Formats: sequence, structure tokens, C-alpha cells
Amino acid sequence: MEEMQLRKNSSVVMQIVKLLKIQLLQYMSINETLHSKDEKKRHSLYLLLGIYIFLGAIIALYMSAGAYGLCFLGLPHIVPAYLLSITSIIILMFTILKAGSMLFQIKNYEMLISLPISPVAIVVSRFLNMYIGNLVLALLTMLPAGIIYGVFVNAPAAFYIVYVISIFLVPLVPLTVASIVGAAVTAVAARMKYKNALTIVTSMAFIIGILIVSFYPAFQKGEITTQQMTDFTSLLSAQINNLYPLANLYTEAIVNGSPSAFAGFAAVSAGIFAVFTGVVQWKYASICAALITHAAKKNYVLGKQYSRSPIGAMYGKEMKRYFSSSIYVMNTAVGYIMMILVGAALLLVGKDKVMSAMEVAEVARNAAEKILPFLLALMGMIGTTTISALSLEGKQWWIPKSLPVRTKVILDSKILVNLTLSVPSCAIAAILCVAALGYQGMSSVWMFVIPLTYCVFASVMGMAINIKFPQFHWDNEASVVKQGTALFAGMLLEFAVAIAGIVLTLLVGGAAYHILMSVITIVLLLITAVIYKKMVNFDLRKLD
Amino acid sequence: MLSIKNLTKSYKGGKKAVSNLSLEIERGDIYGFIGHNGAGKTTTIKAVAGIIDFEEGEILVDGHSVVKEPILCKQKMAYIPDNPDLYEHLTGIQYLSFIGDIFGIDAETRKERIKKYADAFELTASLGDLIASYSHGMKQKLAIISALIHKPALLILDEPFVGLDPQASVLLKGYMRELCAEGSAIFFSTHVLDVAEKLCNKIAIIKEGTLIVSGRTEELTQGKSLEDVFMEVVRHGGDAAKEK
Repeated sequence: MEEMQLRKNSSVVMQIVKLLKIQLLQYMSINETLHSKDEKKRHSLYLLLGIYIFLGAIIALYMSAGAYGLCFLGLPHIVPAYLLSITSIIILMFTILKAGSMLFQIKNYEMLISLPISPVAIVVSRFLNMYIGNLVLALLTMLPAGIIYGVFVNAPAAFYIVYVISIFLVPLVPLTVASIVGAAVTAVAARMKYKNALTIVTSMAFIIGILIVSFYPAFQKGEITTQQMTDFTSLLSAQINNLYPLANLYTEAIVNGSPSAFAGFAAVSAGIFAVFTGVVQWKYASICAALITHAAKKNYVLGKQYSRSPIGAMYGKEMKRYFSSSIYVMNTAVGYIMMILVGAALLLVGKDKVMSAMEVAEVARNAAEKILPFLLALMGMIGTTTISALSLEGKQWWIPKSLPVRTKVILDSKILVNLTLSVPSCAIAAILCVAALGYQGMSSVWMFVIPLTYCVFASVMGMAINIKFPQFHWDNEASVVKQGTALFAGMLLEFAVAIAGIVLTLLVGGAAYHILMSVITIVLLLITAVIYKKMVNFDLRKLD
Repeated sequence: MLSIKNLTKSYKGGKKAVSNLSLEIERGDIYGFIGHNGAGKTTTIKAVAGIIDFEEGEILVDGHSVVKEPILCKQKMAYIPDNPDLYEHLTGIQYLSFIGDIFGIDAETRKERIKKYADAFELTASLGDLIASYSHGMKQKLAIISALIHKPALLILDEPFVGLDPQASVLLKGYMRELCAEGSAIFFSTHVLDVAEKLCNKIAIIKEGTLIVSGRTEELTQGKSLEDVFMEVVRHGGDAAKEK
């Protein structure tokens, strides 16, 4: 009997390993690239690897600098908790948007469920797929920074061993919490008619909730001290530290070397994952079955028909495509929601409070005035839909290519979707910021012009980048919306352009500042026009 | 109506998918295109439909180049792929309206044609449902309706009978004949040799990217079944058939 159970368990482990291997081969289209003779695909993979390495280095550097800063300020004891909290929140925020669709990926569900594969193997392999990605992130955020901490406090060799082991445990809790939320939202939505709408609304509500809960106490205190305003990292760290119950246990285990605290941390991390897996695999088949069941009324009566222009038809189709994908909406709309929340938060805090915080230094006040339009622009660019709009055509890419419409119409319809989302968001955020901070004259004009210009630029640039790095062969939209070469290349470029704007404006003052802002606007619009003109003449047959 | 001249298409890595292929499809023709899996049928059809590019040769639709005047050519033709991957986020009627808008079909004509074809294929009641909820056959029917509603002068189909129920197959064959009787041309690939033999007035056989034989169906078969001719042709590289 025991032998049979053992054989069954080893078979489940083998299934997990095999399923995980297949999923990992889809990462960055590795398998497709390895077996393709297309040099372009190979270059695209190298570029993506390069971007990953660059971003990884930036993350490691940023976290290490934070850890060094805390050590330098005489606060080394809070470094492990700080690293744990920041890493956990990042994993939670990023995973929550995709956990549901990753765990309950229905694209190949029917094929998998027809095979003698245990639902446990499917759930665990998909969870491990997310875990591996987040483990890499945790290693980047925690390992170099932890070494700095270890060197600073002259930690014994045992610390490094325990610390490295702990990093492997860190992603489990936030990943499980994100998966619980994702699974709950998916399970409830699966039984509703408007699955996507419900998924989008509940996930967004959860993220906005996290943002509000994270920052609300800071505003509640009434007085924001100069120290808190200037040392944002410590403010954030303190907030998250309060929010994350495991931080104290972790500090006890790592800083004070308590074996029982470490055992407790490991038990909680692994236990919560085990319980979650058990519950999900129990209901897995019914949730997936509900997801693939579409409401079919079969009672349509043909009524009056209406005609539209080709661009109107393409735009309508694109808007429906956008709102049909919860992962697409959640990953793009988050930038627009953030910019409106920033404006709303500034308005709620009130002009007097914000100004009093800034009055301590005229330099800080001027800098904030200059930086804010670019920050809004950056948040607007996070939500650029065009970066993945072409790739999301997927297997339907033959349709626009075979239709009698020019490249311009196809691309315009996708750009218009982005502008439909970004222009009102920029306008609302700018109105809120101008009202909150009492900006007048040209300062208020730039608050509108800069984010809008950057969003127009990002719409066109995003489209051009997606043409350069298209990816039509995917099983899960997340691989295009969250992991594609186009996405990272685009984000990096847009980030660089926004930072360049900030750096340039900080260098000048007075009338020269307004001239520079005009130059930035004109140059960006000119670049946008040149790219657009080149792009609309592209032969889309070349993209396959 | 469709003129393919010396078409050559190579895939990345250098392998030729289609080599120096030439075909003439005239108005009123129902032209069958047959060959093994991987022979180059879909590549040829996709090149004609303007979906993939090609290195050498020329494709003319009613005298217009698909490379130089793609919009004009696509306005005259309809293409149905072997796998009906349609926009699953749209309902059936939204997809047909979308196609109607792109081809500039006025609302009244559109309604009349959708009713004609959707009723015939028994799809009207499901037009309000998302395409995601459709079976393979229903998607195939919807793709066929979307192609027929703009009365194409050239209809290009890739394995159109796969996944269709017998009644829908009969209907499709009838509509193909009707379209050709009105002066359109049809070019389609198939593995169903019986259908090709009965339906097509002309047939072309392709092997490893090269056209082996082409011509009027009765001249190619000469009393034999198309199945026998096909097997003979592909076995002997067309030599035997050419000698005839």
C-alpha cells in the first residue's frame, strides 16, 4: 500500500517536472527561438536577455544602495525586514495581476485534463513557474543587499547560509496571497456572465486598496515631516513593515539568529503554500470548466444593421479586444489609475499641507514643480497599450492582413485605443494636480502639455516597437503583455525619455526652463511624426 | 481573374516552400489545388491572399498586382483559412458587421445577405453569442458567411470542407457554383479528392513546392479517378502524367 502511494507521489513529481519544463521553455519564446532558423528571433531573444540583465542590475543596485543607506544611518537591524517587505510587496503587486490567468490558463486545459495528469501537478507546476520568476527577482533584490548588510555588521558565515536559504522561502507567502486573490477572483468571475469585467474591477479594487492602505497612515498622521518627505524609502519601509506580519519573525531569525524564528518563518511560508495548493486542486477542474463555458443564448434575431467607416470598425474591434482581456486591462490601466490617484491624493492632502512640506526649501519646491509633469507622463506611459497590441492579434493576425485596409488604418485603430485611455487620464490627473498645488500660468500649461505629448509619443513609439518585435505565437496573453521583448524594450526607452526630460529641466531655471519645455514638446512631437510616417508605410506581410 | 507567374517563396533557412509556380484562374473557374501536407498549397494561397510576402514572381488579381495594389486586390477577393481563427471576443453578428464595414457593404444589403447565408447555414440564432462559444464547424460557417457577404470576384479557400457537417458541405458547394455562375473565380486547396473531382473544372497538383500538372479536370483524369491520377502523379513526379 505504502509502495503504491510512493509510486503515485513520484509520478506526480515527474508530472510537475515535465509540465514545468514545458512552461519554462515558453519563457521569452526560448523553445521557438532555439528551433527556428529565423535570425531575427534570435536577435530579439538576445536583446530581451540584455534588457533583463540591465534591469536586474538596476534593481540589485537600487536595493543595495537602500541597504547601504540604512546601514550608514545606523539602522542595519532593519535591513533584513526592509528587504523582505519591499520584495514581498513587489512580488504581490506584480503577481496579483497575472496569478489568476496563469493558474487557470484555459488555452491548453482541455488537452491537459484529457491526459492522465493529476490536477495537483498542473496547479503546482504553474505555481512553480511563477515562483521561479519571482525567486530570480528575490535574489536580485535581497542577495547583493544582504551581503552588504552582512559585511557591515560583520556577520558570521552561518548568517550567509541561513540568509540564502531564507531568500528561497521569501516569494512563497506573497505569491500564495496573490494566487489566493487571483484564484478567488477567477473562481467567482467564472460563474458570472461578464467574467472579464468582474475580474478587472475586483483586481483593480484590490490594487487600489493596497496603495491606499500603504499610504493612508502617512497622511493620517497630519504632519508630514521634512525627514519623512525627503527620506521616502524609510517612510515606505516603515509602512510596509507594519503591514507585513512576517517581518518581525524574519528580523528575529536573520538579525538575532533565532533558529525557532527561522523555523516559524519557514513553516508559515511552506504551510500557506501547501494549504493553498490543496484547496485549489480540489476545485481546479470545476473552475476551469466554468471558465471555458461561455454563455450561449442561441436566440438571436437579425435586426436592423448599421454601417461604419473602416477605421470606425477597426477601432470598435480594438476597443472590444482591449476590454476582453483582463490581464491586458490590468497591466495597462494601472498607470492611468496611478496618475489619477496621485492627483486625487494631492487634492485630498490639500495645498497648504503639501506647500508647507515644500516650503522648507525653495529648491525642493521648484524641483517638484518641474518633475511632476514628467512623473505624470511616466505613469501614463506605463499603460501604453500599443506595445503589445499587434502581438495580441495572435492567431487572428491573418484577418487584418487579408482585409482591404491600409497599414495606416490597422495601426491607427490601435493607437486610437491608447489615446482614448491616456488622453482623458492625463487631463484628469493634470486638472487634479493643478487644482491641488495651485499652479498658474505656464506651470499649469506644462502640467497638461508634457504628459499629453509623452503619451502621444509613447502610443506611436510603442506601436513601432511592437512592429520591430512582434510575437504572434503565444498560449497565454501574459507572455505578451508582461514578458515580451517589445514590452521591456518599450518600457526602457520610455523611461529613459522621461528621465532625460527630468534631468534636462532640473538643469535650467527661469525663462530658459519654459523654452526647454517647449523644445522638449516640439522635438518629441517631431520624432513621433517621423516614426509614424515611416511606420504607416510598413509592409505588414513581413510580420508572421 | 487570378494570374500567378513564377511564384517562388523561401522560408528562413533557405528551404523553398514554392518554386517557380505559375497558374491561371479565369472567371467562372472552380480551381482545385491538391498536394500532400507541406507541398506548398497553403503558402501559395497565403501569398495570393496578401498574408505573406514572396521573393520572386508576380501575382495579379484581375490584372492588378497584389504587391503594388494590395487594397484593390483584397477588395475583390475573400480568403478563408484552413483553421477559422476568428476574433473570439466578438459575437458572430459583430464579426459579420465588422467585415461588412471593411468592405463597405451598405446596411440594407448586408442584412439581406447575412439573413440569406446565416439562415441557410442555420447560424442565425447563434449570431448574438460570442465566437468563443462556437464549435469549430460554427466558426467555419461564420468564416464562409463573412467571405460570401461581399460577393468576392475571387474566392480563395484553404481546406474549406474540414470540420463542416454534410449539410453545410453541400450548401458550400452550391454557393461556390452559384458564385462562379455569376462570374467569380474560386481557387481552393483540398485533400478530399472526390469533392475536387466533382466540383472543380480545373485542377492543379503540387509536390514539394513545384507544380506537377494542371489543367481541365476531365483532361487530367481521362476516365480514371482523380485519386488514381494523383497517386500516379506524385509517385512518378509527374513524368507519367506529363507524357500523356
